[in-house]
Amino acid sequence: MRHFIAWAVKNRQNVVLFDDTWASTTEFPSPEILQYMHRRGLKTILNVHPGNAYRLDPDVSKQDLCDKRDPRMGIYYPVYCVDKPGFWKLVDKRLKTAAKYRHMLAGLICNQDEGPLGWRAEESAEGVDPVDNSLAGFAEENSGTRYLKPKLYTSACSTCGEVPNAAKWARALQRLNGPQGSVAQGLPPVGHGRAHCAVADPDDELVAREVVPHLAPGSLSMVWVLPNCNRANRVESWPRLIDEMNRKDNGKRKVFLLRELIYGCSADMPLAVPSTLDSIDIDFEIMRKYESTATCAGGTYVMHSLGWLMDWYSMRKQWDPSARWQSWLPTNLSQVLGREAVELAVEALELVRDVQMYDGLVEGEYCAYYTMWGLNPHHVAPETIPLPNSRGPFRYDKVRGNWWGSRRRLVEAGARDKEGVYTAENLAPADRRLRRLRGKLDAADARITRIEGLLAPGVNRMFWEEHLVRTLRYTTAFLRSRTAVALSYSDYAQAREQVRQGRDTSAVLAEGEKVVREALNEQDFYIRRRPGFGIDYPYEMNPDTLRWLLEAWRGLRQNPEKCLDLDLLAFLDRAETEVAQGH
Amino acid sequence: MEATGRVPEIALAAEGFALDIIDDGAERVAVLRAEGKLGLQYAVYALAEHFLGVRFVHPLFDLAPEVPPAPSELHLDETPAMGLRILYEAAHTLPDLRGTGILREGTQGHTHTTATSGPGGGRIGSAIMSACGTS
Repeated sequence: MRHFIAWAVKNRQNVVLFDDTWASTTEFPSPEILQYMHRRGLKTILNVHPGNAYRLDPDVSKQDLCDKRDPRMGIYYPVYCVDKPGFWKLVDKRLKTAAKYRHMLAGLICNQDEGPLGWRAEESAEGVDPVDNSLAGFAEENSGTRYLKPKLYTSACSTCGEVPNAAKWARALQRLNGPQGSVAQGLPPVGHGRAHCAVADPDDELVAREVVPHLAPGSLSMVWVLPNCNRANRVESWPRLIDEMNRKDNGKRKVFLLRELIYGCSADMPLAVPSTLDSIDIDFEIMRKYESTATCAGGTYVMHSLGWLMDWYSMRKQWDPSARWQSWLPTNLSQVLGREAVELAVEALELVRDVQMYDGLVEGEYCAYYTMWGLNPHHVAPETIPLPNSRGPFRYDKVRGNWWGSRRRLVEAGARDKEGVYTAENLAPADRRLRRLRGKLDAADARITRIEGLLAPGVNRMFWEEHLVRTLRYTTAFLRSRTAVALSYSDYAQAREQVRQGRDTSAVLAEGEKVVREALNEQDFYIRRRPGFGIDYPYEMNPDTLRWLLEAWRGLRQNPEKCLDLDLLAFLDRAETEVAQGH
Repeated sequence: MEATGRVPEIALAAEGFALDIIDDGAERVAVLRAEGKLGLQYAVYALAEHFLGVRFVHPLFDLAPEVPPAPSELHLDETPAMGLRILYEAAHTLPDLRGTGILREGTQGHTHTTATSGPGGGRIGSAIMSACGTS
């Protein structure tokens, strides 16, 4: 950890903020780390909200919890009721601990972890189709023009009396910044910690309008976003309203954007997400328009997924935001990597970014969570296969397993194409887009190979192999694997139609077998050789399903008419079902 | 040095720094001026960056070129654009080591900084590494 802290100083940071600080009962970071930070001159920001009750604090009881769980919660955490003594007992406890570190506080915030994060929010929405909006998949549809319209102003519990979420947070701020609050204890005023993951625009503005008037002068607030779907334009109401407040009373309130650059809690795959580099630049462009903006910070999983690069760039961007990543990288890496290799890396990153974003089809960091990437033809070609009331058979919550660690299905259990949606004609635009994406992956791979050839022998070669070449190569393998599976869908639809028409199917069936084999090989490549991780990633395609499909395609080449038995969805469902049953 | 005109006079911003490398023929001198404890550390690391070519790309790896740039003259005056600059630790590195098993308290990192001597470069490079450590 000291290396990490020192890394901040080396790259001109003055604050290290720890994710989920005191989220439940975890004392994090340790006093030793805080002491080391102080010696280096670093400050931190602490959360004084009780947080969630994932692990019930020993000083409180279950009676202190809100008895109504949605949608104030995160994924699965109960929270403390603002009107119960336990809530304030925990606040006092945290303020007392914070007081020990008052010499190194850049600010205090409340509500870092209690937010309607979007997942579960949709359950209470009125007149809204619940769409993919969950931990690993909400980026899928909560993007571009397909925003959710959740109703997040919902009730709390029987004790606090149907207090809307924002009112609860305002009430907490009132007391924390009141006569007995943090300032009276010699601490900074408390700001708000907005957890903005997949919350729709209207709600965010509503929450900001309710909360901002309760921010004390001099307070520092945070808007926290996950590495997907939202760029800073989705949270602009916070700096705008804080600017308005400051103009009225010269209150010098500040707010910063905190972007989790890659999801770091083992839930997503350790693959490169280059669109995040764009997000760092875009966040700055948007947030710097506002006087109250303190910074746009980023953080990530640092060991893989190009996390080193994103963190590094985020840090230096805060010192000097004048360059965009495409020009910043050659300036700052050429001496240690070589100019040609850096330029190739920038090109490869842009190509992978284009593929990640479906060739410009989506807005924002739509695919920062790769979990669902590429397998839903509704996403790949929404112009021809519109989302069927968000109830499509490829929908995230229909194909995922449990939260952590399970493999995903290719299609909803029991799915059938009763309406005949998945025809060769309807799938053709998706097929064309996927082939374009595959071409970009070829181009990226060519550049990665050239980079490898340029690496001089020596210790740095190991670094670049591990932290650049392999990461990019495994990412393209992953994307290629998904692309290949999705390509087989249109092959299957074509084969069925050709059989019906009595035409020769040999070419399309050979192609189907080829792309499924490609999918299996590519997935095998990135799963088995990826360093530092287990063999299986959460939400990965089941390799046994791919093997089943490969056998099935071989069988179809012998007996093409067999594809008439099953439509595309039934074919995929059968693969998953038979594999699950051990066939 | 300011009085003799060997380095320009500057007004440093909070946590800002200035770095001057001057070569008068007899010796090469690095002059670090900074505002505050952090500013001084930034200046030392900036010297490593500009003189040795070090890049602090990763918490466990500082990279340096085989041949350092070792400029004979350099005048830098840097001011942070953002008053608050935050590194966000989102990997849950401690206490349960979720996220990464390598950044472990007490573990020695594999630091690959090399203070290769260029023309006159070794003297300053050694001083940097000795003063700051590499982590």
